[in-house]
Amino acid sequence: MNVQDRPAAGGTPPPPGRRRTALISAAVVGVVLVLLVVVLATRKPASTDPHNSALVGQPAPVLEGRYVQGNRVEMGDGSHFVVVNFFAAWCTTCVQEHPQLKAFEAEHARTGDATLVSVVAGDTKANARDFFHANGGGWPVVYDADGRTAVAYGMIKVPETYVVDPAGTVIYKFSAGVTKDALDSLIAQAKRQGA
Amino acid sequence: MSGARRWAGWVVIAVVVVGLLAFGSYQRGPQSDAARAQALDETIRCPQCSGESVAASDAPIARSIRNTVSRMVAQGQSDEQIRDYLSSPNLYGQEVLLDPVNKGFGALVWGVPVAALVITAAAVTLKFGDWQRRGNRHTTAADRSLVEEARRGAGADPS
Repeated sequence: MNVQDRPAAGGTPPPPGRRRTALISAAVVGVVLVLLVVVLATRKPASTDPHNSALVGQPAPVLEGRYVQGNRVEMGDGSHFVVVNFFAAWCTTCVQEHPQLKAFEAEHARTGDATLVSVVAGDTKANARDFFHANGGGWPVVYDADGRTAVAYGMIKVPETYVVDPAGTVIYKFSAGVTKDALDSLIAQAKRQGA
Repeated sequence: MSGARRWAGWVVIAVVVVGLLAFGSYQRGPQSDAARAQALDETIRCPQCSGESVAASDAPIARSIRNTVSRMVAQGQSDEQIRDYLSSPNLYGQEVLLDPVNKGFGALVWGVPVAALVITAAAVTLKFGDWQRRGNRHTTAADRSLVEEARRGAGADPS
């Protein structure tokens, strides 16, 4: 009970004016609270699905940096899918997914429908070279020296893999490790939809 | 205490508060690029960490974002342009900003406390004024007769 609603000395009830003020105040506060709850409940949650990055559906950012190995990869020339894999030599998930990427690359180098490119994120050029030397794989590797490519992709943590369609549009983002099967089925699905 | 002296106290408090707020929020001259980048880094959340700014974190992505901020500052981009770039939905979204933006829905965070303060202050001032006016009212003949009646009742009661 509000102080001003307390019965006056002698037990007489508060005058009707005060009651009306209290009612109106309570109604205004109530309406504001309800509006706030409605607005907050209908907003997009802060933690969005990482696999559905907002970059999906957008043109893939340019891969900037020097190539540690392989030839420059062009995206959006209409001829092939591009799989962009962010990695670091110190990242254990990257080591684990590497055989999957190798198998994927070997198969699609034959069919020519998809190219794999790795981006060194948060590691040195020398470590990246040693990594490929130790684990194999001869596909193009870009050294993102100051991290601008990682930031342009909204990358958070290695490994992350983005699939870019032949038109140069990002169609999917894998956070954490990726498998050959997952990449293959995604590309097959995109081909069916595009056909 | 006289009315004038009482008001003088309030005026002194108001002047000191406004002065301190102005001093605290004053932008001291043109900042160097490094200082500007550092100040911006402190307002950007490291996406990989929990509640840490990119200035405080040593995560690889925090380093990449610091590099990006420094590069954009060197290119002459404004603080707003840099924050807009990093918080665009394609990159890290609004969640990357440690201090909420003062436009759109985010403005509520700044606006609501100020509005609440102003409304409360106004209500308290009005109410105090009201009470003060009531306190100055003179006793009426009806009041006196009520008191008299109560006294007689008390006198008649032997307990």
